[in-house]
Amino acid sequence: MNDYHNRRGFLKKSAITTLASLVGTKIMFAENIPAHVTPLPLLSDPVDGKDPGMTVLSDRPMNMEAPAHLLDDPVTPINKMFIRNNGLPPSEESIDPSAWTLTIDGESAKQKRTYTIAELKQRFKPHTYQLVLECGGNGRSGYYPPASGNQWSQGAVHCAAWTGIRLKDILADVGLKDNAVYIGYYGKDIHLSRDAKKVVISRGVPIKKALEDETLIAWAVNGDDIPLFHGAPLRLVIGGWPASVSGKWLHTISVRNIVHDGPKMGGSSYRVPVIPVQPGEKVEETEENFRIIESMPVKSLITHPKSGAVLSSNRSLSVRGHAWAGDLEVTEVNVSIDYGCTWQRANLSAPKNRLAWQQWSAKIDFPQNGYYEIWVKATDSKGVSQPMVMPQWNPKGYLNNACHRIAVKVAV
Amino acid sequence: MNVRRVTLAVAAFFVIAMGITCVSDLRNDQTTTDTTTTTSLVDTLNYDPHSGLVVDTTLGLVVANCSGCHSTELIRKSRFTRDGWIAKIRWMQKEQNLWDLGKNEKSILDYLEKYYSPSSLDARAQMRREPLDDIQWYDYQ
Repeated sequence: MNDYHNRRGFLKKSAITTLASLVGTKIMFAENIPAHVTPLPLLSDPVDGKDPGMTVLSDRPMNMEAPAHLLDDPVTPINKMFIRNNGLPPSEESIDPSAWTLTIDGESAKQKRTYTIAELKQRFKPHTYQLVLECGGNGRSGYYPPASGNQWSQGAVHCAAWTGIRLKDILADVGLKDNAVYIGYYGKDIHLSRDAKKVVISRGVPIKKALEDETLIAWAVNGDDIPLFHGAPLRLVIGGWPASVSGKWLHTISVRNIVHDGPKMGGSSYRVPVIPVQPGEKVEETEENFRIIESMPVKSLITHPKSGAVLSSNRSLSVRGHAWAGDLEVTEVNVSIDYGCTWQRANLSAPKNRLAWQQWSAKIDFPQNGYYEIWVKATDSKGVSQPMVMPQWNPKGYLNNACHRIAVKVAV
Repeated sequence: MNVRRVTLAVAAFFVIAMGITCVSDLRNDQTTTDTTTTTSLVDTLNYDPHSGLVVDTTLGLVVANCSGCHSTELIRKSRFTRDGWIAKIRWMQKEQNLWDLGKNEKSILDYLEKYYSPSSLDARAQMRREPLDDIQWYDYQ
């Protein structure tokens, strides 16, 4: 711990005085602040190297997203990747890749085995995939009544190139029992309460998804070591599903004979009502009422130009962006400048690999000067499109895949 | 009688003078500290530059009790009814080791309900997609 705590982990009197002067008020119930808690003003955990244009929603836990125009690269650079942390990352000093291990255990593993990162690199073949990781709550701010949680706009998504070994290779090495149902991860993040006994988040996926070629145990992103806030030194990376299944600071994967029951698997966490509900409706948090979110819905972004473009020399404009569809592929992207009355088909590239996002582009000719909104709509390989209005409301505000749009003024 | 009238007049003068001083103080506060607000919901409120929360006599209590584990952004970006805020507090007490707020709970809830309730967003509920706002126009080359 730091200098603010005494040996029993409680705040020292001097720390409380410092805090009071920083906050400008007497600290009520200071004696009740739990052991090992560092109040906000005494703590700083800056995230080095992030683009200054990133939007910070919360600095503890650290949650930041990219405005759409920062996501223009086909492969998202690390400095523009969103961060969604449920707890606090382990301290930088505690991360020693040469000592870090990954353990495979659980009721449905034939044995318990522990590997060092060096062993993983040496024993299994490395693979690199571009994978879309999108927060299940991306777009939450659009819902009404407001849903609890980070009020993400559209930028809690990225598609980076992850390098590691296939989870299926290591599971084959350990051996799976026939009754394996699910895998669940465990990471070394620290609970916000600093209670060492509490697990911050431990989620997972069904065995079928775990055994896909693209499901990786990764140590590198875009060719570099994984940065601290993105899960250094080892991360489970699973594209197309809520990014919370891609466990950071990974130290254990349990092969379960039941649907994994770690924190944030149950209740209404990363779940939506089985039956469509009226906006604002209270839904009792039972297993029967909620289902776990699996593949994310079809979605697209306009990443160029940035919203607010004023065209003064030319009434035509090249627009571009990305489209993705969870486990599926995007088959069609359309743009509209008249609020959906007419649509213009965009050019669409094939994905670099399965579960990577695809690039689209279009040239738009505006009929006359004025205010326009450019809307984009993607359609997946099952023929399902994005809604222009808000999709089905749900208590936690997940899965908002409403069409993205930007404002453009033509003043030639 | 006369003495009483004079006393009253003097008292009234002081009250008015103090009122003017307070109002001008508030204006000064607004120009110096109202930098964090990005919404146009309640233009008349002052925002504390440290926490970003609405300035009110209860602010100290809220900061002391509600920023131990998480940023004040979580409060600033949320909108809940009083019942919703109570549910949040109970959840934090059950799962996140939040302490008993004691007699301060009522004041904290009053504050949260007053400044961070959904009512200010009711207008948005009338639309399935609200108009784009906060557009920063720029010359596109």
